[in-house]
Amino acid sequence: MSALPEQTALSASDFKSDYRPVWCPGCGHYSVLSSLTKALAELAVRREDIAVISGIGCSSRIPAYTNLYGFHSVHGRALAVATGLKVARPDLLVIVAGGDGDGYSIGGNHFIHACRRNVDMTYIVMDNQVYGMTKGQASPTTPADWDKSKLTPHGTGVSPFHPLAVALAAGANFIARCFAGDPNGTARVITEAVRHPGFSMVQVLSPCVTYQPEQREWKNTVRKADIVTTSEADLAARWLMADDGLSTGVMYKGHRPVYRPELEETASVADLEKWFAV
Amino acid sequence: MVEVRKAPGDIATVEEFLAHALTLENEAADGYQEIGDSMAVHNNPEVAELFYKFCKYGRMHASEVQSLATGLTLPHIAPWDFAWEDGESPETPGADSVHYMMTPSQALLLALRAEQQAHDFYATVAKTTKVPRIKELASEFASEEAEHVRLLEEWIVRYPSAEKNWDFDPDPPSMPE
Amino acid sequence: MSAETVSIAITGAGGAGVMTAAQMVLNAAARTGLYGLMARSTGPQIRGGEAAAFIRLGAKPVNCLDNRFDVMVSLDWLNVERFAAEIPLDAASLIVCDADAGPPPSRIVASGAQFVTLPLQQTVKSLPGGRLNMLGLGVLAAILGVPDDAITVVVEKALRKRGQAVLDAGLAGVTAGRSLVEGLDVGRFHLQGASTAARTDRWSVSGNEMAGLGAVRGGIRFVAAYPITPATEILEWLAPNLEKVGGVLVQAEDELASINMIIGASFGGTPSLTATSGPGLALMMEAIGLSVASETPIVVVNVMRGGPSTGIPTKSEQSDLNIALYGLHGDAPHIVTAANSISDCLFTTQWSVHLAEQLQAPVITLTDQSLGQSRAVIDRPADISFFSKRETFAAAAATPYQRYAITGSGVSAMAIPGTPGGEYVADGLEHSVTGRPSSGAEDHGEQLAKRARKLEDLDYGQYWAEIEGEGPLAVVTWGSCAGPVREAAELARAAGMDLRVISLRLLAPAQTDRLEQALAGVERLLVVEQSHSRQFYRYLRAFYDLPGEIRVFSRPGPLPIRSSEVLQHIQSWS
Repeated sequence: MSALPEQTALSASDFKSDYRPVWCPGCGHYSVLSSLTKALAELAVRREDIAVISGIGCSSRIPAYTNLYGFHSVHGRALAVATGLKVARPDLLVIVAGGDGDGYSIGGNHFIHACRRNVDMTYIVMDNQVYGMTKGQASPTTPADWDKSKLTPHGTGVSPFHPLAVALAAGANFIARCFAGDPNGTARVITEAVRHPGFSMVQVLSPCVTYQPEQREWKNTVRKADIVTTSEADLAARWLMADDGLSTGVMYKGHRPVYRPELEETASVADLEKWFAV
Repeated sequence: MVEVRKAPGDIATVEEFLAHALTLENEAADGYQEIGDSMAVHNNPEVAELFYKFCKYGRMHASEVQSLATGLTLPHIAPWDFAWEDGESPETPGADSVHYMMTPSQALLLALRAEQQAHDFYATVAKTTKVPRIKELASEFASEEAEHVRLLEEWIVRYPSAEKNWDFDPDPPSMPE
Repeated sequence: MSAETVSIAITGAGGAGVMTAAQMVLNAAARTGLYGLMARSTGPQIRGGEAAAFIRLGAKPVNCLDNRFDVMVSLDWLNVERFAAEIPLDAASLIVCDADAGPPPSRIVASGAQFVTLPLQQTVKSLPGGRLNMLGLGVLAAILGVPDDAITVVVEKALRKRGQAVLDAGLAGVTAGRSLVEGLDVGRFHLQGASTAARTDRWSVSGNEMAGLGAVRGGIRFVAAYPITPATEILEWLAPNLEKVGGVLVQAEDELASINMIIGASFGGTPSLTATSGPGLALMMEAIGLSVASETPIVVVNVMRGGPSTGIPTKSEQSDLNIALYGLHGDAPHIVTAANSISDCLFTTQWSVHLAEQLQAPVITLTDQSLGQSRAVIDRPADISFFSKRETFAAAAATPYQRYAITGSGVSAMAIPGTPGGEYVADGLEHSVTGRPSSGAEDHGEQLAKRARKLEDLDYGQYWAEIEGEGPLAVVTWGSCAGPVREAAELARAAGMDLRVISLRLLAPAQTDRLEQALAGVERLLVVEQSHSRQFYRYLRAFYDLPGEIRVFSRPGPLPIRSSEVLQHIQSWS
C-alpha cells in the first residue's frame, strides 16, 4: 500500500459510505466503525489500497458501511478469504472484521490457523457474546449460565471461550482488547495493530443493546488494564488467564515470523515443461 | 496501560485550540448524523428529524470555527492525542444511550448532556489556560454552549416526557439473515 | 497381445519397489519411441502394503489398460489376491515368480497362464546391495526386449542422486535379472515398433501433473488446498512450480479454508485454483455458491474417487458428477468440465481457467483417480493460448462504477483492489447492481438472469466435446471412460462397423443443440460410465432429447471399464 501525500490526507468520514447501517440504535458497532475509519485516516493509506473482509453476522455488515474494497463473504470464512487476498496481494492493507459467533464458532478453525500462519493483517472481532442476527442465541463467549435464549433455556452449561488466550497460544503476533465505549482508544489500538507486522488480534467489547442489554453496564465495569505491553508470551498468557475479560489494552506484541511468500518470477512456463521430457 | 493525556489547560497555541474546537463540532455533527440515520432506518422519523437538526447546528458551528481559523494552519492531532478529559470529544452524543423507540424529549436530553459537556470543556480551558487569546476564545465558546443549553432546556419543556413503558414493543426482533 | 500392445503387471509387497521398477520400464520404453500407460493399484497402508503396477506399451498412443495381461512379474505372493480381479490372465499369459515365494494363489493358477519360476530372492542375496525390483526390471527388460542403453539411461537418471554404490548395485541387479531370462522363449513379448534412435521429445506425465500444468498455463498464480487422495499430486507438482513463475501455493487448514482463500485471492485479481476429491468438494459447496453470487472466478479441480463418504480413496469412480452438477444450493449457474484423457487434463484445466476468468464464475473440473494417478507417455502437447482475460474496471469513469451492472453478455467489469474509483463490496447476499444487499424481487430476478445468461450465451466453440466417427450407433461417454470406449470403437471399425463416439468435455451448461446435432440420425445410443446409479445417463436424460433406442453400460469402481466389455456391448447390439 502506498501512503498518501500530506495535502490529500483523508478524514475519518472520507472512509464512510452513504449506506446507512442496519445496526440497532445504541449498538456498539457504530463506534467500532468510527474507530476503524479514524484509524484508517491516521494510517494515511489510499482508499483503493484497503480491503475490509467479513463473514456473516451483524458486525460483518461493516464493509458496506465503508467506501473501501470489501468482501462480505459467508459465515465463518472471513479469515480464509482475507488470507488468500493478502498472500496474493501483499501490497494491500487487509482488515478482517466480524463477530464472536462468526469468528470463534463456525470460523474457529480458521481463527486458530490464521493466528498460527501470522499473515500481516488485522482482525477486529466485535464481541458481544451473542448471535444478534439470528435473534439472540448463545455464542462461544457467552457466560455458561446465560439463560435468555430459547435455544439454551438452562444456560449453555459450557465454559466461555477465551479468544485472546487462544490467539496467543495459536501464534498471533499482536493481542489487544478494546471497548466500543472508548472509540478513540480503540482507533489508537487498531492503528497500532495495523502497523505491527503479522496477524493482529483486536477484540472489541461491543455491547448488544437488544439481546444483552446488561452490557450497557460495561461503560462502568470495563477499565484500562494495569499492564505494560509485553513481547513475552508466557507473561502475556499468565496475565490473560488471570484477567476477568473486562480489561482493555495491548497485552502482547511479539516478534513471531510473518508468513509472506515472495511472489517473484524466476522461470517461464516453458522452463517448467522441460521436466516432463523423457 | 498507562496513558498520559494532555489536560485542557495545556493546549498551547490558538491553532491547537481551534483544532480542538473544530473536531469537537465536527464529531458532534457526525454523531448526530449517525444517530439520525439509525433512527430513520428504524422508522422513528420524528426523532431522526431532531437529530438531523442538531447535526445541522453542529455543522454551522464547525464552519464558524473554520472561519476563525482562516489564515492559520491547524495542526494534525491524532484522535487519541486531544486534550479531552475522558478521551472522547465532549460534545459527541452518547450513542450508547439511544434506543430505536426513544422519544423527542429523550433525544433533547441527550443533546442537552452533550452541549453541557462542551460547555464544561470550554469553561475548563478558559479557567486553566495561560494563553490570553485562548482564554478569550474559550470563554466566548463556553458562553455560546451555555446559550445552547438554555435553548435546549426551553425546547424540552415543549415535549411531554417519555411515558412509562415507552420502549414496549409487542413484536419480537426479526431475523434478517 | 492385442492391438499391437504389450501389457505387464508387476506386483509385490511394499518395500519391494514395484512402482519404481514400473516407472523405469515405462520411461525406458518411451526412450525407444514407444507410447505407454502406467496405472497403479495399492492397498490402504502408508508403507509396506501390497502394490501393483499395470503397464501397457505400444507403438501408438495408449488410451487405456488392456483387457488382459501378457506378462505378470510377481515379486512375492503377499496379498496378491486383492488385485487378482484387476489382473485378467489367460493361457497365453506368462507369469514370472520367485522360486522361494511358495505356491501361487489358486485363482492365479486357474487362469491357465504359463509359470516361469526364477531364483529371484536367492540371486538378490548374492548381490551386494541387491534389490529385488532392479532384478525384476532386468527380467522384464529381457522379456520385452528393451535395449540395454535405454534401461541404463533410465536407471542412471533415477539412481544417480543416491550415490555411485546404489547406482552400481542397481545396474548389477538389472544385468543379473537379464541373465536369469536367458534361454527362455519370450520373443513373442518383445516390443514392436521400437526405434533404435533414442527419443527425447516425448513427455512422461500423470493426469494430476497435467492438471497442474494446465493451471499454470492458464494463468493460475494462487492455489490453496488441503491434501487429499487422489488429488495431492496436483498440489505437490504445483507447490514448487508455481513458486518459480511468481505464484504461491498455501496449504490450508481444511477445504473450507482452501476454497475461501482462492476466492479472496481471485477477488484481489489473481487467477486462483484449488484441487480436491469428493469429500473435499462436498465441504467446498457453500463457498462455490459464494463464487457464483459474488461473481468471483475460481477453478476447482476434483479428482474423483470411490464414494460416498470416505469411500475408496485410492480407486477411481465417476460418481461425483451429481454433486458437481447439482450440489450448490439456490439457483447457482456454474461451469462443469471434464478431462477425457491423461493428456487432456492439461487442456481441460487450462480451458477451465480461461472460462472462469472470462465468465467470472466458478468452474468445477472433473478428472478421476485413474487419470490423475496414472502415468502416460505422450507426444508433447501443443501450446494453446487463450487470449481473453477477465474484464476489469480500468479507472474512474464519468458514471459511477457498478460492479454488477446489467449487461448484454451478463458479464460486468470487475474492479480489482488498488484501482481508484472501483471500490465495491463483493457480497454473497443478493444485491443490486452496485453490490448493495437487496432482498427486492427485481434485483433478485435481474441478477439471477444475468448470472445464468453469461454462461448460457457464451459460444464454447468446438471444445464442448470430442467427437469421432459416423454411423447409426453412437456411444456417449465422458471422462476416463473415453479411453476404453475409443479403443472399442477402433476395434469395431476394424471389424467393419460404423459408429460414432461422443465424449463430453463441457457438462454444464448443457450444450443441448450441439449434442442434438451430433446425434442426428442415430438409431442406437450406448451410454458408458463408471457409476452405480447411472449418474451420467440420468444427466443426459434430464438435459437432452436422446434419439433412438438407448442402452447403458454402467458399473461402479474400482474395476475399470474395459474396452472388451464396451466392444461386447456394441457388437451384441448390432
